[in-house]
Amino acid sequence: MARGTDDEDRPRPRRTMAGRLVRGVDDRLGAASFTSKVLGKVFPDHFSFLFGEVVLYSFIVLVATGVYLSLFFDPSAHKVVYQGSYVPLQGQSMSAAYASSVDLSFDVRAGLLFRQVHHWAALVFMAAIVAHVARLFFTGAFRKPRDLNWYLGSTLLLLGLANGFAGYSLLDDLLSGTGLRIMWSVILSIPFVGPSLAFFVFGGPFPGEHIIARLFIVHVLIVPAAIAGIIGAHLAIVWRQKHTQFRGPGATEHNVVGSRLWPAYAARSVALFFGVATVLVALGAFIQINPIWLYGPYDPTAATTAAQPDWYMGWLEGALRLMPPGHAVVFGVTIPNLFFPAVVLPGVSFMLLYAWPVIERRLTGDRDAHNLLDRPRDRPWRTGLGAGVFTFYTVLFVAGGNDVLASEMGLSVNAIVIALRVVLIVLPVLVGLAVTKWCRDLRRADPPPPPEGASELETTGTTLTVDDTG
Amino acid sequence: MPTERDRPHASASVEYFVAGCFGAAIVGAAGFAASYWMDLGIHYEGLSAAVALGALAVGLGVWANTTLERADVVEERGPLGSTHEERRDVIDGFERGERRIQRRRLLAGLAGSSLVAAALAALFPFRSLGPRPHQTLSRTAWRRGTRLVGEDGAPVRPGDLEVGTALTVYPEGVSDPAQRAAAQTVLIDLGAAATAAAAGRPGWTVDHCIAYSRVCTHAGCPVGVYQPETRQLMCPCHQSLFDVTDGAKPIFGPASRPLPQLPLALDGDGHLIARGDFDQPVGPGFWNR
Amino acid sequence: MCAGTAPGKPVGMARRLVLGWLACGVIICSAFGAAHTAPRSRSGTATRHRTESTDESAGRTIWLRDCAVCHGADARGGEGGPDISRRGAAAVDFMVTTGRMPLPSPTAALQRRRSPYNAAQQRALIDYASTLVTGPAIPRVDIDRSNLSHGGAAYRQNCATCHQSAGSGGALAFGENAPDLSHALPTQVVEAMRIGPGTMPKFPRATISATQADQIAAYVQELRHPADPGGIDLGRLGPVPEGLIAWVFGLGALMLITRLLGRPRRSG
Repeated sequence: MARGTDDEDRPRPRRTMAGRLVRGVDDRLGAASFTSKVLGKVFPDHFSFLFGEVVLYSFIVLVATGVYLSLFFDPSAHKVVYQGSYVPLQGQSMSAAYASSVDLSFDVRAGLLFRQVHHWAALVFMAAIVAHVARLFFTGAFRKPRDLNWYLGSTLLLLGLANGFAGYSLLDDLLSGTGLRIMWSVILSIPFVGPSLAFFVFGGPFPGEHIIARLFIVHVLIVPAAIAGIIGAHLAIVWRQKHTQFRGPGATEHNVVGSRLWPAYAARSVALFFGVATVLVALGAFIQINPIWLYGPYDPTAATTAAQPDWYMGWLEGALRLMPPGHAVVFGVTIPNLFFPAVVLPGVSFMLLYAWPVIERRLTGDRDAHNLLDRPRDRPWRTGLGAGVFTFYTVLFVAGGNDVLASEMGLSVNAIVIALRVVLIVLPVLVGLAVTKWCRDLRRADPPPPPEGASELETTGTTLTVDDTG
Repeated sequence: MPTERDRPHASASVEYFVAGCFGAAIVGAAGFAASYWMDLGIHYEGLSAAVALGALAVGLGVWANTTLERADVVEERGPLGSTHEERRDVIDGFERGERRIQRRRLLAGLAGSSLVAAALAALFPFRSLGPRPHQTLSRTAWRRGTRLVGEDGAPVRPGDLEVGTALTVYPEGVSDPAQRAAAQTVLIDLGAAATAAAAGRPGWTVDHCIAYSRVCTHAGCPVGVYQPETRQLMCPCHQSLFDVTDGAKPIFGPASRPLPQLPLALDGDGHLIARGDFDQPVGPGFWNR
Repeated sequence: MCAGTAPGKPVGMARRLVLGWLACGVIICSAFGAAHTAPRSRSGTATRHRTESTDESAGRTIWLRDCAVCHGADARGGEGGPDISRRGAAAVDFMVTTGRMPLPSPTAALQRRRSPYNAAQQRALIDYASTLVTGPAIPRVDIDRSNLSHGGAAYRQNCATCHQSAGSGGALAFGENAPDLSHALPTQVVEAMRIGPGTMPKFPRATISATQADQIAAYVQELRHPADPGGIDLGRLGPVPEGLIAWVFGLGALMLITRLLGRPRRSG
């Protein structure tokens, strides 16, 4: 072990608190050699490598605020008469779930802050996952050996969608009830098993009395436990495989250049946790989210315009809205219109997402392990494809808000729908081609990246420390 | 090429700044406690909490980026895979065990079967999750002779409506939320246009009044928007449009089937009644509808 | 935060990022804020007439000058406009007090505008025009003794499907709009139910009683200034602006933080 920089890092005698702690733990677990590797572990520095940590820290904020909320929330469809302090609802019959959510907002001190922070955290959690996926895709970080983590991350995205939907559906307000009604119809549309499955999930015909309690256990136990497990496995794999890095001075396929976990990277990461928490708390404190008291309790005979899901479900909502009319009849079996945008589209989307590492391996024939990242411009066709795919889902997302767009901008909903049906097909192709060309131009103007291993470490002076503990 | 980061000690001013941040975090935490205790509301609670967390973030971040690490460190990756011998050992070890199991074919087969049986048996309790649909999806609570009542439960006469009015009605005496949700019906006074609308189905309308299921055939939202000028019903969820004068056929949006129609008649008191259930299953489609 | 220590270029980039990000946020906030707080459109084409006289002849003068062109001197309609002689005083009052009439031009959309008349002129015109028409009278609306909670339930049952649960308005078919209700006065709310202006259906007394109508009007007033904690309301348009904020202010801010924390590679 060669340490070049500082004397104060030298191991101290055992009289210190750290010394006593290490001896105490090591006598029982024999963890000293592992822990010393942990402390010296090197992480490469790039801001985009921190998006995954934003996901992790949003999840921690979600769990912390969610536990608090669950102490007050009553996951029951049982009807109660509201007697809380919000006058425009007093005396109304509503589910205990909705009433306790309104109580959380008006009659539990700090309850509204926790509710709002929790909801903002969910939106940012999903946004951070998407940003993370985008970073991995455009830099080729999903290639062997990290295809494994790509599958785990894709599952995380899927579980995040499910838990977000389950979470906002718990409140049983007019907006979320409408969402559940659509979900009922989506399940119903599945050939052969649809009706039975819908009755299983809801415990009878819609709305039934069971769905809130069932969603609750899914939302607070089953899916979060799965998410926590996957995040743990995801991090363990990152740990084992060591993080990717960009090409740069000293960086090769066979090393990691960056900061040690202890103390610099750890301090930075903890700072990021507090940064995430700050942003989420600030959003929760000053920007209203999901004012359920204005939406009112759910009633299957009432409806409101501007009925959108949270943003991460917006692409599905948009697909439902853009789908041209018509249904299929195959051998006497009706396949309803809803089945195509609400079951086939997400099914195919996630299948392609999962399969991407394999697809690219087949297309390029590149089966090698990669630890150095591509710059997006280095793979023009991949970057173009990714840009086109993101454009596709963005257009769907915009379509999901077509009525809000129409009423805010004075346009016709019908015109927007017709136009977006065309845009949905044309724009991704155009964007994909343009981005591909842009990458090619950038690469032409740019000196090609140095071949691997060509640039050796400049080990002059004290700027670099070689650590062989890896 | 030494930068400030590479100097052995960050300037004192940076340390003062970091110390100030941690001080601010303590003040923010105290502020949160105070604003909670005094019930100052969400903005004060959130602001003080954000100050505490933000000051910690800034303090730690500046500290980390200025003094804690002064240089890049290089760590060798080492090979990820194991050696050929190690892999061989794993395969050999597994296959030795496998051969021992295979020597007792019957036992191994029974062990496997019992695992499968236990797993299958564990699936049975899921049957309790819900009843079978039976006819629930194909029929509603409307029966021959059921009176149409409004939200308040009062029966409706054709004269209660005016041209351009749409009223939500339910079968009288039905209070179950699921049944009401499926049976909700929109009753529309079409005026003179009712004659044309009734052309295909004589006897289904009464005195300019026509009734359709209010459950969208696309995704089941209440088709609550009636635009009397164009005599169209619109679903607020996905903007499907239905032409009320033409059997409520869909004319725009994703809906693919017309809204089922409720055949109407008058009872002896002049109240509107249904002559039976809807002509089709209501609501979104399913495979065997 | 680490501006003094990091190399110059990334800091410049970070600063530009911060500025761009703030600009995006301000644009989104002001777009949705403006949509909510300001009336949708206030046409400047209608000229303000200042006539101080408020007697019956003033109303007749205005009628003959501004209305009779289309609706005829007897309100039975003409080439340019419909017969309104059976629409009732409620319709006249609604159209004039909300500024929907007179139209600034024959092709203009029927929507809320700043009325070219002052209050006295409006009163005079309504009084005079009411003598020309038969039909629903101007309703007496008492919101002070009305049950808000019942009003809210009836509002969600009958109104929210077009006007949105928080009264922010919404899109109808083929470019029509259900207006935002943040400027609707109680009498106007009940008048609209009774007369069904534009694309709105009628809600006669048999379907919404006078009591219920008052309750709905009371709830619409409540929606103008609801007890609405939690911060900036984003136009009460639901999850669409919330998603934009989550991306721009939430993830945007966090990207800036990662940019400041994630050390750039040093060139050795």
